[in-house]
Formats: sequence, C-alpha cells, structure tokens
Amino acid sequence: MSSRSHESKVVMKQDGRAVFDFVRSRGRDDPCPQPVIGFHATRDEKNRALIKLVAGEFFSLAEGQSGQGQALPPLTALALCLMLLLASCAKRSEVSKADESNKAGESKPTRVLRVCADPNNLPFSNERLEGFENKIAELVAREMNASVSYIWWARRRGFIRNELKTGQCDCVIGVPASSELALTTAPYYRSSYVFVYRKDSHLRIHSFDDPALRHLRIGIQMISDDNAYTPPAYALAERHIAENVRGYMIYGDYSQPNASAQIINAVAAGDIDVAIVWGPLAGFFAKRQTVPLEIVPVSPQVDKPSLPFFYDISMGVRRGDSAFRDELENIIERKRADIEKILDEYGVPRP
Amino acid sequence: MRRQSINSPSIANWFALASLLCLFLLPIACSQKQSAQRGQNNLPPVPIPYAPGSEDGQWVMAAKDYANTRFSGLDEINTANVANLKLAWTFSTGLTNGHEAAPLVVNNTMYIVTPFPNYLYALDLTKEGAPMKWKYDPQPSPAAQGVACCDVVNRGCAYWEGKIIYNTLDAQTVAVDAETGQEIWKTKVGDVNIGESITMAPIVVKGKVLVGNSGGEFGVRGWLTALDANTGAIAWRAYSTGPDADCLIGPNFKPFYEMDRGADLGVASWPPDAWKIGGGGVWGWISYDPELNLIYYGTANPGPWNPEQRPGDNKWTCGIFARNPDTGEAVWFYQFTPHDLHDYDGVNENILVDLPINGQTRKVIVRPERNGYVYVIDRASGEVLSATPYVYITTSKGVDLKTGRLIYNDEKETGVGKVVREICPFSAGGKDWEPSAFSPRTGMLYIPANNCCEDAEGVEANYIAGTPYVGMNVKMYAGPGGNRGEFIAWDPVNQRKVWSIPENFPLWSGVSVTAGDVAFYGTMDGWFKAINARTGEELWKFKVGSGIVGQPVTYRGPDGKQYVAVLSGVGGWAGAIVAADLDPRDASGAAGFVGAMGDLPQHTTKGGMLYVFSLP
Repeated sequence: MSSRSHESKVVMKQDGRAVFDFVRSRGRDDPCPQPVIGFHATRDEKNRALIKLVAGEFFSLAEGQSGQGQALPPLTALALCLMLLLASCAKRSEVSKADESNKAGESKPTRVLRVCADPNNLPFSNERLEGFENKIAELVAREMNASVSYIWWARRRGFIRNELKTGQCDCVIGVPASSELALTTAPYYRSSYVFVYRKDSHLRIHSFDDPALRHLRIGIQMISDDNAYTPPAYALAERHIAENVRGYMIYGDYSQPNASAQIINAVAAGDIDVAIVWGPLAGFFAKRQTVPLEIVPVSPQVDKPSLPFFYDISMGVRRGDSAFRDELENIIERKRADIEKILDEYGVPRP
Repeated sequence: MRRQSINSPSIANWFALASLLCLFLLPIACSQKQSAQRGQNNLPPVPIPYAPGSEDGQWVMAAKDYANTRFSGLDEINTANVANLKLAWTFSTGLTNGHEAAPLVVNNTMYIVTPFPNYLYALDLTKEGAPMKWKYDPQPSPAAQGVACCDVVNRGCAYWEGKIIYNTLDAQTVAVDAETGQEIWKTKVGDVNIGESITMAPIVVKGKVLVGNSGGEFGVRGWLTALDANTGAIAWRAYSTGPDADCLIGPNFKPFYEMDRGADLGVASWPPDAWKIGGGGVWGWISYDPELNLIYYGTANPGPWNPEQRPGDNKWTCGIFARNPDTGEAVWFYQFTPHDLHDYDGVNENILVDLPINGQTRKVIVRPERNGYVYVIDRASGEVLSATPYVYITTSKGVDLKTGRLIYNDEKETGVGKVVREICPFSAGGKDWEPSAFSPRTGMLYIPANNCCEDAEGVEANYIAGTPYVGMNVKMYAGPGGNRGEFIAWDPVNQRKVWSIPENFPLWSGVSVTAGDVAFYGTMDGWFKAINARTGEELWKFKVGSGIVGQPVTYRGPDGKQYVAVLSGVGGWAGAIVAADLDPRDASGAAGFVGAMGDLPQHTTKGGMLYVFSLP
C-alpha cells in the first residue's frame, strides 16, 4: 500500500495517469486518471473507489470499499464524482477544458490538440511545460484555435504504440523525419550531434578523427535495442576507441529531474573531458553549468560508411491521418520564424 | 504434420538409460533433504521435489522440480488414451498480454500469475468448475510497462511453506498466504526508474527465495538476490559484473576453464567502468542440486554497449554460475558466449540429470543454449562434456572443448552500414526462454526450438527520450526447410536429434512430459498438442482461443483424476505483433520479430485463458 501511495509523482506520471490536471489525461489500462490534485486525502481504497466510479464501474461500489462516503462530505464527493465523470469519461474529443496557454478573455477554443509527451525530458518537454516542444505545441494550438491537452508517458519503448497508435493522443511534437512509426510532417529543424567540453580545457576537437580522442575521457549516451545503438558509439567503435569511453544511459535515473543532463554535468565537473551528445540536449544543459562549455558540431557529418550525425526532426501523427499532417505542415510553414525563435531560446544547435 | 524420423534410440541406449533409474532413487535417498513443509492452516506438508520420483500429483514450482525436468510421474493419461482428452473447464484471466506462466497446483488449489498487472488467482479444485477462491492484486507501478523489453510477461510463482511467492514487473518480490490470499511480505528488490524489471519465476531453496532482474538494454547491471522466505529480508545479492566481491566470488571459486579464471574478471574483461552498466540480467531459470548444495542459473547478454565498444569477454555475461545457495558464494562459472555479438542471452534452463557418459554415470547439466548448441556439462566441476548443434548455426563454428571457447564465425559480425545476411540462429536463439522437458523414462530432452535466421543492416534513426539513435534494420525469417519452429526430441548421451516435428511458427511455449510417455506443448497459432514421447507421433490436439506461449503442467485432482492445464494468450517477444497490435507492415517492429511473424494475426487473436483437460 504505502509503497504505492508514496511512489514518486514522476513514476505515476510516466504512464499519463497522475497529472496535475487530471481532466486532460487518460491512460489506456486504467481509463481514468488517479487524481492527485483535488483530493488531499489519498488513502488508496478511497482513490480506487473513486477511480472506479469515474471509470463508470459503478458495480465496484458493491465490493465494500470503505470510507469513501465518510471521508468527503457527501455533496462534495458527489460534485467531484460528477465532475470527474463528465470530464474524464466524456468523449475525448469533447474534452474542452482550456489550457493555461489559453488566457481568459480569448475566444474559447473549440478544438483540442492532444499531444503525447514525456513529463521529465528537458529540454524537449516536461510536466511543467518548460520544454521547447511544449512551447511549440502551444504555438501550433494557437494557430489551430485549439487548446493543448497532454498525455504524459515516458519516452521509451511503447511510447508511440501505447499513445499515438491507440488514439490517446494525436501528435508527437518531435520525431525523426524518417521515422516509420508515425506519419511525419516536413521537418521543422535539423540538429547535429556535438562535442561538449570545458572552455578552460583548451581543447579544439571538432572531428571524430582528432587523435586526442584516443586518450581523452569521452562520455557517450547509450541505449541498446537489440543491436541498435547511438551514433557516437558506432563512430568511436569504428575507430577502435573503446577503453577511454564512459557510458551514460539516455534515461539515467528517471526518478531524478533532468536525468539526461548527467553527462553534461560530468563534463562540467571534470569527470570526463568531452561528451558527444545530441545537440538540443547539449545546448540547453551547457547553459546551466557554472563553468563555460564549448559546443562544437561533430564532423564528419556523415561518417563512413553511412552513419549520419545530423537528423531532421518532424512532428508525427498517426499513419493515415494525412489531413491532420497537412494541417500541421501548413502551420509549421506559416510560423517558421516563431519556431526558430523558440529553438534559439533553448540554444538548439542547428548547424 | 510431417515428422522427421532420424533414428530411434538403440537397445544400447536403453541399457544406458537404466542408470537413469537412479534418478528415481535419488529423491528417496534425499528424502531428508526434501523440505517437507507444513502449511499454515494445518494442511498436509508439501514435499518440494528434487527430481522425478515419488509423484504426489502436485506442481509446486514452474519447473516442476529443482532439477527443472518438467516431468510428471502421473500416467493415467498415456499414449493409449490421450486421444480421448476432453476439455474439463476454463478460466479467463481478463488480460490480453502474453501469458507465459506455469500454473501451480498445491493442496487442491491452482495458482495463476498473470502478465502485468500481475494478479495472482487461486482456484478451488475441490469444487465443480474450480471457482475462484481469491484474487491478489500487487498493484505494480504502471511505469514498469515502459521498461519491459519484450511484452509485460510473468513466468510464474513458487510455493513455500503455505506461501505463494512471485515477482512483479516493477521489481518487487511478494509472498502471499496460499490459503487466504493475504499479503505476507513484499520487498522492493529493484528500481524501475533505472530500467529494472522482473519477469522470471523465482524458486525457493532452503528457505531462500532466489530472484533475478531484467533490463540489460537500459544498462541495468544483472544480479541474483536471495530473500528470506519468511520475512522477505534480502540475505545476499550476487552481481553478474564488477569486482569479485560484488559477484560473491571468493576462495572457493574454481571454474573449470582457464578463460574463466583470474582476479576481478567482471572488471578486467571490460573497458574501464563499462561493467557498471554491463547487463548480464538473470531473468531465466534456476535449478538446484541438494547433494552438491549448488544452484545453477544463466546470465543474460552484455548491454547496452555495442560489441566493438566492449572489447573483452564481458564477464560474467552469457554464462552459467554455480553457487552455494546459503551464502551466494560462486563455486564455478562457464561462459557459453564470451563477448556476445548477437544478443544470445544465456538464461535458458539447466536441467540436472545423471547420465551415462563414456561408461560412467556423470552428474550433468543438460542445457539447450540460445547460441544453438545443447551443452552437457559436469555440474560439479563445470567441465563441458559435449556441445552439439541442435539447430542450424552460422554464427559460430563449434565449441573448443579444450578451452571451452565458442569459435565465432567472424563473417557474421554486424556493424553500421554493413549488411550481414543469414545470421543463424537469430537473436531469439535456437531456443529462447521457453523451457524444455526431460523424461527419465525415454532419456530424451524435448526442446521447443526456433528455426529462424536474420539479416541485419544498421540504418535508420530511432528516437527515444529526445535522442536519435541508429536502428538496426533486422529482418527475421524461417531457416532451412521454411518452418519457423521445431519440436525436437534430443538424445543428450549420443548427442543427436532422435526425431522432430516441424512447426510453422517459432515455438514460444514450454514443454512438459509424463510417465504416460506423453509430451505436451502449444503453438503460437493456438494448437495444444499431445505427442508420443517415444516416437514423435501426434496423438491429440485442441485449438485454444489464443496462441500459446505458456507452460503446460499436469496434476492429480481431488477426484483422483489426472488433469493437464495450460494458459493460452499469445504475446511475448515473438507474439508482440498480436498482443501489442504491431503493424505487420513495419517489419522491424519488436526488434525485427514482426518481419518473421507477419501472418500471425491471421492465425490468432489475443486473450488470456486457462484450459484444463482430462479424460472423460
């Protein structure tokens, strides 16, 4: 019991259930969110009874869940239940609670842009809407006269499958243009892998062929998905640079905020001499260090035999949603300058 | 179904097999070692069987006995009457992911662990239709679904002194009162936030619950942990990488081969610090020999490093540990696949049998390994007595029995921009986790095998957590003959295939075999089959609702009749195309497995259901 109710908020958010604005979120297996705001009393039994009620499983009340009616004043409980029922179990397309981005006074949006995003993945997105993908989502929604509704899910295996494909959400703000998992728009930015090192190190590395890489302590990010790895891992391996390489997991410890910043922190702290990371990550976290860091796009940009280090990033929608894809593409085209401005603010290297 | 009758066991074999009969005597000799357990509610004590012997008609751990034979001494259902087998009753789990667990039967109650959210159901076998006694919900963290590599499966539970003990996907071990369904203890053994999950079935040895983790692709460092069965307190933890002290390697560690000897090889066989995120999870099977007082288990592949980035043998991944269950201390280790190139997790079952080898009875491990060889290993010393291909292999050229080393075929090494064709067996191996069975009556090992190869090409970018990475375009397809699976009867003494049954789909179900000389297994398109264990003749089959990736069991009911039970509910890595609704047009889905399984959705749909059969 306690292990569940004290599970960090982040964990609960990973599957899109526990969100500060429960009205906007639906998980797949547990069709109604576990409300964490709106119920200060969070005894599990009570929550479950309410959740089940919200889910329309009225019969569950007959299971003898205790305490539900006593803990909340009957009228309040009834009101909350009704609200949850209406909001959470209404047809998703009709959910129309305005987002923070839609200030009072503006015309009430009639559409909802349902975005799948990771609640802990800066600089891309987080639950506090601090990522550049959050900002771009807001921009796009404004153009559509829509409000943004987030479905939170950790960006790892099953992200597209569990959310986009099942219809929990309609778009993912950043996917590689070549992704086969989704239907993609024309790209709205291109970034590159970069070298990151301390300015005071006096290094001048810009190429994988720099002999200094043979003895420096190099950090790379890792993931393995049945023989699939990150591009820097291949480039270094190709040059037989292995003994001086240190691996950092892309996810790191997800219970920590900004887990993927670990590798940049390690450069700043002097644990490693140089990191080779995806540009947006470097641009954002390098700015937040107390020591100045140098960010240099890697070269060659396409390593032999055919390994690219730059990637075009697009928005992704469900396969088949081509009308929606076209609409997004139009917006990207119209608002290119605004998107560029957001990317600049976040220091996204675009060589 | 076409059968390949290669040869039937010779008369000489039967003499050899006579010595196997000593297996039947073992449990008697070891009777004082059997932990006669008393239930908490004055139920009769439940013997935990070491090996085939005095059959009590129960099934108290996923592998049936500590020797992992999955052999039942029941013979009411036999080759003469199995054709009359009829459906007795069914039970829906209400879930649709892959159902890989073995049901347990203890004290006239059946226990079923489901895939995530890992419900535990108790069914009352004394009542008509086996109604539910209770259901336990461990409420695992939903986040665990994102770190499970290959569907959110669970492979079963274990009974110990009035408790049902199992693992949840979010890396907790839980003990539940077998009578009431009340939780007795729950211990968090791993952390989903760093990518750890648990899918394996624990075993309980001398009051210690043995549990291992999954998650190599997230850089999880593998371990086996022992918990006190009464309290859930962690007694010891042995890592699969790192310094000897972490791996519980001490003065009593005596590996047979030179390649496995030396100080801190769990560090020295890696680039500096690489072992810290080195993989070597422990998500397969554990067996136990009470006489030698040793447990045996395999370690998974090294991850998340690409092979070129981890020069060295990458100890102690892709190998087998023998340890003292009391202390966790390592006694020997043997590495099947040093410096793994093809994701050949070394987690398959280790079946403990005594076999006549070169005129001597040897205490051995028989092990159908993912890399495509059946190994016969002296289980006291770790010496490999034979290693013989049981499937088509191109990735290696044999095993050097002098050095113990696998001889790689360098031509099959993958890399970016490089197209490598005909990698056989494919990543799931000649056999993945799905356990084989051994019959002391026939002396044969029954292997649910895959016959698949793959082409690999490092190309397009994938994208996780905001970071593009390079995907491997893996195309999986049927190996020679065109059949993707094969049910193999293997003679481990003479190292040969005795007969086999080609199967259209890869086999992802376990096997059990009985004293009635019937072997049971299921197929991914939903056929549950009974095979004559001596001849390979198909005697009976039944079409269940969804493909079978579970483990069949057999038991004696309160009415004295023999029953056979199996969970259907397709899924797992091979079945993800159905369980997770993957797009058959995306051949690289499920790490390439979708390419080999594109036609599965036309043959089966998802849905977890238990089927129980008996004679009329």
